[in-house]
Amino acid sequence: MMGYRLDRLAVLIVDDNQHMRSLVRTILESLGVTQIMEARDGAHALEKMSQTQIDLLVADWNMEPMDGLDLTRHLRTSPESPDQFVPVIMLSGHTERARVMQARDAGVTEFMAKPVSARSLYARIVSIIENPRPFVRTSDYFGPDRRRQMLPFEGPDRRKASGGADLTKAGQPLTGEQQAALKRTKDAIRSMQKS
Amino acid sequence: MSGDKPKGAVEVIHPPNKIKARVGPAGKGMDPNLLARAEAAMAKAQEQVDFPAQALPELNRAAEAVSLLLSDRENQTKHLNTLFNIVHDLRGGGGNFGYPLITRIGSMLCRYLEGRTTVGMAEVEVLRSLVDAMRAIVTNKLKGDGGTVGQELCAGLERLVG
Repeated sequence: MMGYRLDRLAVLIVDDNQHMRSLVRTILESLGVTQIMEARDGAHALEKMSQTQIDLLVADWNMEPMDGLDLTRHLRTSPESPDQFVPVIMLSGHTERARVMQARDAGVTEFMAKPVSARSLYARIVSIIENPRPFVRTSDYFGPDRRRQMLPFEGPDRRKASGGADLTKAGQPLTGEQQAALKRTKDAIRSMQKS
Repeated sequence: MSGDKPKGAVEVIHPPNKIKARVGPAGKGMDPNLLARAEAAMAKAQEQVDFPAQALPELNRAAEAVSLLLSDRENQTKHLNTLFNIVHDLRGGGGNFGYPLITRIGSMLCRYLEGRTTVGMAEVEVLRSLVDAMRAIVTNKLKGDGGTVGQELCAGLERLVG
């Protein structure tokens, strides 16, 4: 089967974790991509993009000083943007629906929950090639059309399932059940530390 | 760039598909051979990463942030942010480098912190247990599901965070 000529793409990986950059690089190289650049945060990515034409960004969310969300917003809306249409695949440990929506509202093209897999990254690259989304400009948004759902996030919507932290109980003492659980987990940790 | 549009007006733009032009028209979908090659290369790369060596210093920093929640109360929000960011990164990496328990417990901690800007003694106890559990997991190199020990530990922590 003849695949796409991914060797012609220039991809920029933006992540503050060197191991994660290396893992994404390995996947891209195996898919045939040869022009791979790396940046350690959003500001570094913009510096790289001012020097080289980039076709696709794979960016982490949590980075300092400029995170992936701010980088995407800058690319989409700043007059100094090197390419306001460049596709951005956002990697994140966040799987909560609200976070995915936040990424979408920043102008991210595809969202990818960690752990990273070769299949999920490849699928998103193919999706960008085959199903490009039109861009939309409104009074408060510029970016890919948000009406088309991004690929679903992986993993359960745990926050929704659990109801999240019960803020009405913030600052209150632990319940009897929680105290018993705390004691058991402390004992378990202690025995692990001894072994 | 988006702010100069009158409220309610929508402009739809179809930018040229530069990526498609670059990669050529020959492909369609994912090439299964290429995918298999990428999965194999990734598995090999994952084995070479010493996740505990990377995670332990970060978890020590997380433990320090937990201690500061009580000793430096006026900066609790800052310390909670530090804690969240450290654990959030680790939960992302845990699943990729053979430590899904770090992902599971890290997710519990991140969920527990969502929406909290201050904490009391009880919450600090909970946070300390979560960080200590993660430290014990990487120190003991408890890979995969962690067996009975790992599962019981996680079940206890889940009861703790509610």
